[in-house]
Amino acid sequence: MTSPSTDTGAGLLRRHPDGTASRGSRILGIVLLVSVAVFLYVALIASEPDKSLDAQGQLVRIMYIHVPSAIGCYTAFFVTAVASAMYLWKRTTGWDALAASSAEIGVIFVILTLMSGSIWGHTTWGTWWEWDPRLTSTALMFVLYVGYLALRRAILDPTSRAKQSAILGIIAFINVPIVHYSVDWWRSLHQTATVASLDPQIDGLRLFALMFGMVVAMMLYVWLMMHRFRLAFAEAALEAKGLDLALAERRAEARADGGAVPPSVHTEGAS
Amino acid sequence: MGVVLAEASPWTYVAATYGAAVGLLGGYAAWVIAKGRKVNRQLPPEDRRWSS
Amino acid sequence: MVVVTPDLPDDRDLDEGGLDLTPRDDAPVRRARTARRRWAPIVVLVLLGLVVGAIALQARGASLYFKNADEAVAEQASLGTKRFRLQGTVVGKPKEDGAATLFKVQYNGVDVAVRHTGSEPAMFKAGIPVVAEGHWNEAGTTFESDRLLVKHDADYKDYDEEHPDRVDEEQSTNT
Repeated sequence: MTSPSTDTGAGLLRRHPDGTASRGSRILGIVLLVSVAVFLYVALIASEPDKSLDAQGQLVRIMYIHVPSAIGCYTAFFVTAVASAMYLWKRTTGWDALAASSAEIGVIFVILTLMSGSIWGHTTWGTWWEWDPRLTSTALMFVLYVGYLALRRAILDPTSRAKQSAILGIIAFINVPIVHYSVDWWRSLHQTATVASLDPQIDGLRLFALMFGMVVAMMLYVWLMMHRFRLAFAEAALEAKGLDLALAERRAEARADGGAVPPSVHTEGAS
Repeated sequence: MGVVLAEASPWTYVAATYGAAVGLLGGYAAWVIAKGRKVNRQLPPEDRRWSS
Repeated sequence: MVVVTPDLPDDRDLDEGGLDLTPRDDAPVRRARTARRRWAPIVVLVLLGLVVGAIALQARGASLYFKNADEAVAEQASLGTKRFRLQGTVVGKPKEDGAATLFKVQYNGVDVAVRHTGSEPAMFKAGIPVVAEGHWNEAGTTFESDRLLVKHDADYKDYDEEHPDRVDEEQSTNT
């Protein structure tokens, strides 16, 4: 393969020279776009409305967004937890960038889960929000990962930022299985999982829309991760460069001062 | 007789949900792509280690 | 900030036009900024703790979100007119009584008469499991509800008519 700056592909595979796209992410992106079109067609047009006893009618279509986005955020936060643990073991920038990227995408998916769920709740249950176990634990999950992102912005030193956020990234994940099993462990207004059992109470194109929605959400997650991780990695490289520059300045200062070097400059230059 | 909730057409709620999904995910993707270009411009190509 | 090339140390004196490299002027400012940054993560974690605490407080009792109709009857004496949520499947057609709606909910073969005032979810009808918020009346004969939610179950298969076994299904999933 030729050098990264010159090989930017041709036709549909042509990429911006400064962009975060690669050949792989572009191919996935094209497959993703086609899948999204198929998904929207099945979810909004081809599939029948719900005609069961507590008939959802057209509203059942909200579920094809709600469930896949929930699966998307579980996946994202799982990756954050694994990457956080890997960081604490290996202490390399890549794992930290991976954890941070995944958490951010996860938060986007939680926002979508909460929004679509709220609309569903208003139309089906008769309330926008209810402090039942599933909704409460989901709100907690949202707050924990927004806190994770806020913590990352609050710490300037890359090493201590990576370490502290890795710890939070692992702790916050404890809540994720609680969110998932809350509907089984406690009495909840929220219904239990639709397709977890071997005999799902959904069939035909409605089942397909739901399952395919999850596939699209996974593809979207991977595609977003490719771009977001490369951005995070570039930011880390830029940050390290900025740090090198600052260190060079301080060393220059020390040299210019000659013999009267304050001890603090020595320690900072060495670290 | 109690007031019946959700008198708006179900399609309004469906459209709001799908609109939110496309807007949120599309907007986020566009932000990531744009920021990626901006940050990469400040880096020499040899520092973009992920590129293949 | 003064930028100096590392290879060319400027060692002229200040009054000869040399650069003023003393970092002492902005040192207090930098120290203050660093100190503020040292507090920032703690502030974030404290805020996070507060919000988590607020959610936990808000959700007290979420672990027992509702009482089923049979439990509400069994615990009637201890419940008194205390407020709680009642769950059961609506049996029979709901009747209107002025501003109120009268209906019965059933769970585990036990019926509770409900008198609901206020708004109703669009999906409220016979055969649907509901959660009603309210309290027993003084006599303990009727549940006075002012908030009614439909407890939707995960069933999207087509049905042509009402299912007689729906009540049993609901019971098996909520024990």
